[in-house]
Amino acid sequence: MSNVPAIDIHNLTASYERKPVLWEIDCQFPQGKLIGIVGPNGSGKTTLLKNIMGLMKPDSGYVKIFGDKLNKVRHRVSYVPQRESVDWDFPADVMDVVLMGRYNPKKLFSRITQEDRDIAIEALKRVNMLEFSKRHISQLSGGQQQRVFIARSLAQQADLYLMDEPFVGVDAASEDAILSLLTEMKNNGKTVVIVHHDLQTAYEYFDYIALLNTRLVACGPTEEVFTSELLQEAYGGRLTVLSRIGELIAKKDFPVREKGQKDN
Amino acid sequence: MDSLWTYFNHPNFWWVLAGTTFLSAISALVGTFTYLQRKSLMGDAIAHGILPGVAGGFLLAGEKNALIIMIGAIVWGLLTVSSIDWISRKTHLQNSTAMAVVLSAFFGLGMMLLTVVQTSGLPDASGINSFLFGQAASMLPEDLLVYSVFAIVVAFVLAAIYPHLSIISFDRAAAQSIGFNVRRIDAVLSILVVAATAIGIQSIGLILMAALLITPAAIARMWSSRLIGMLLFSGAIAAFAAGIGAVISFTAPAMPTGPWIVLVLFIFTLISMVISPQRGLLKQFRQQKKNQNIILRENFIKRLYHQWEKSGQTTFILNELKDKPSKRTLRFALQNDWIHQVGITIHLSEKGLREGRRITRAHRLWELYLSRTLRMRDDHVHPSAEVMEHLIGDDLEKELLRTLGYPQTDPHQRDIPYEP
Ligand SMILES: Nc1ncnc2c1ncn2[C@@H]1O[C@H](COP(=O)(O)OP(=O)(O)OP(=O)(O)O)[C@@H](O)[C@H]1O
Ligand SMILES: [Mg+2]
Repeated sequence: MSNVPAIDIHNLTASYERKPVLWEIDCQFPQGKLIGIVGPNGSGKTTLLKNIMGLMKPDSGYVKIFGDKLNKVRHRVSYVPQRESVDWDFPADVMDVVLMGRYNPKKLFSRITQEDRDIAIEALKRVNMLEFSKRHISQLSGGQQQRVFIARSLAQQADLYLMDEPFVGVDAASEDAILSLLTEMKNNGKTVVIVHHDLQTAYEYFDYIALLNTRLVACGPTEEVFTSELLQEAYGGRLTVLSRIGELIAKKDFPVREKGQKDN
Repeated sequence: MDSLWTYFNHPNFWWVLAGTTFLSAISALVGTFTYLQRKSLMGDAIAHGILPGVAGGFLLAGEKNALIIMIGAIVWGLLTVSSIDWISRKTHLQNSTAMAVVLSAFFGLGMMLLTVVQTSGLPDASGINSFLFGQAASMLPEDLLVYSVFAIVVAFVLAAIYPHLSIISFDRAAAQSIGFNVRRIDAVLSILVVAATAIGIQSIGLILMAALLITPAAIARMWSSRLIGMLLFSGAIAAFAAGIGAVISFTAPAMPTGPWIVLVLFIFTLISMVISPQRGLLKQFRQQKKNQNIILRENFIKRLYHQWEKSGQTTFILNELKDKPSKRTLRFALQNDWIHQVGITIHLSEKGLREGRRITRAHRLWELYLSRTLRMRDDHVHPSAEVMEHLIGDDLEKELLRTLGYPQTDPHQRDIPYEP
């Protein structure tokens, strides 16, 4: 694996109707890590992801992926939108949705091949949803819908995965299953970037964190980012969360500095 | 019967029948995608907006020339789409407002041109009215050929970009991230809607064309929950309705075709609302009936369990029960070995006891959950639990037990019963 960062965000400012919601974001995400974009509601996490994926145009700055323009490496990147962003009443079963990961934007008259089907089945197996492949997508629980989205993403066979809040509305068992899948992907050399708003689990889940609140509060290995000053800065004033996280850090015998030095 | 045969022997009858069914099916396929993208209004705006193109085409050709009228319709349809798009981008008007503005302005203009045509003394000038409400029987094989060529092109484009259309209908963001050019696909779909509208102007007419784009899709959705099934279904329904319209158009030439087609579609809608397997009222009714039965029998066994809880009694005299079970409930309980019956007494079995305990446990767990987690007052939690006890299955029960930490008593200090 090369040392080029998976994602290089350079002085990025983005706005909706001229009102900036992200200010001068500048950070790099290394390859082969499980990375969290963490911040309170409305802090611009989804917006950052959209800018990385070229779904909106930044006012200034740019994003490079694997050191290249997105269009050059698009086939190596897969994006999983927030689950609520689609209509789950759409007429499709689980298999249909996963197969969408195999659609080719460049080809006309393209048809699904047996190879596509095999890849989709493999993806469904990995998220433990194969038995539901004929089920209509509206008849799934939130956690199952999320896993279908992840399966579609896996079917794209990318190297970099960006997922928006995959743990929202998911029960504990599904959350564990998804997390172990993400970890497995990381161990296979994939880079996985997750938007997440829960601080407690963020500390346990991620190797690397970008702490966001309209501006970038911190970006680095989890141990370096998880200091009470930085958290206070990002989540400002929400002392209950912070005191709980303090407890957690204390309970886990959290090494505030020493361990951080092993990275990079 | 004899008279019907004479229509069938009319030289154009089979042409018109085959043509209108084909054209309508293609229109409905395009309509299915607008339906799924919640752009139903778009079809209506286009259908009304192309009237100036139709009347203008007529004036330009100086006669009822299908090709020139069709081209006029398509050009004006594209103008309609781009005006709507332009207005909603340049102003703060909502898209639907922009549509209404353009639709009414263009339709008004079209009506003016229509009057010009009618007073022009051109040959066929009176026939222009058939474009408003459709007159399938008045179509000549040459007209049909023109419309069909356009319809074949539409079908060809649909086949080419079927994956594109389906992915952007479901998940635009993901489609865009994969590299689909969503704006271009949107534009192509708009053009397809314009073409799909224009091919139906003579058989269905402008005014009711939108119904042909949307209603078959809405009906199909009630019968199929996969895109491919929906497409087949909506195409077939549209073809069938148009076929009936064509037959009527020949038997009663004075009557416009469009209203008949829409009427048939409406009847299909009503029928589907009642009997469709997905959301039909009949199905809902059956489901409610089923739920009702579940509630009745679970309440029955719960009451026996409560008596057992109080007194340890497992034998009851049927006629002395406070709420006598219905025959159906009793039969179900017997068949499932919840109870055994000896003459007029019934005996609560081990299995019945377990079932009663399960329901009671679900009830009390739910009360506790409401009281603890939602901080509801203890005297307010019972009504909700009366319903939820029938819904809470094994999974949810486990989840509740875990969340509440295997509690011993409910908010009313009654024991939460576990399996011994
Ligand atoms: N389409 C939009 N138009 C205008 N403003 C928007 C739009 N989408 C988001 N915003 C605003 O931009 C800000 C950042 O939104 P964003 O969705 O990126 O936050 P987020 O961190 O993902 O929040 P959440 O945790 O709620 O998903 C918010 O203040 C939001 O109100
Ligand atoms: Mg978000």
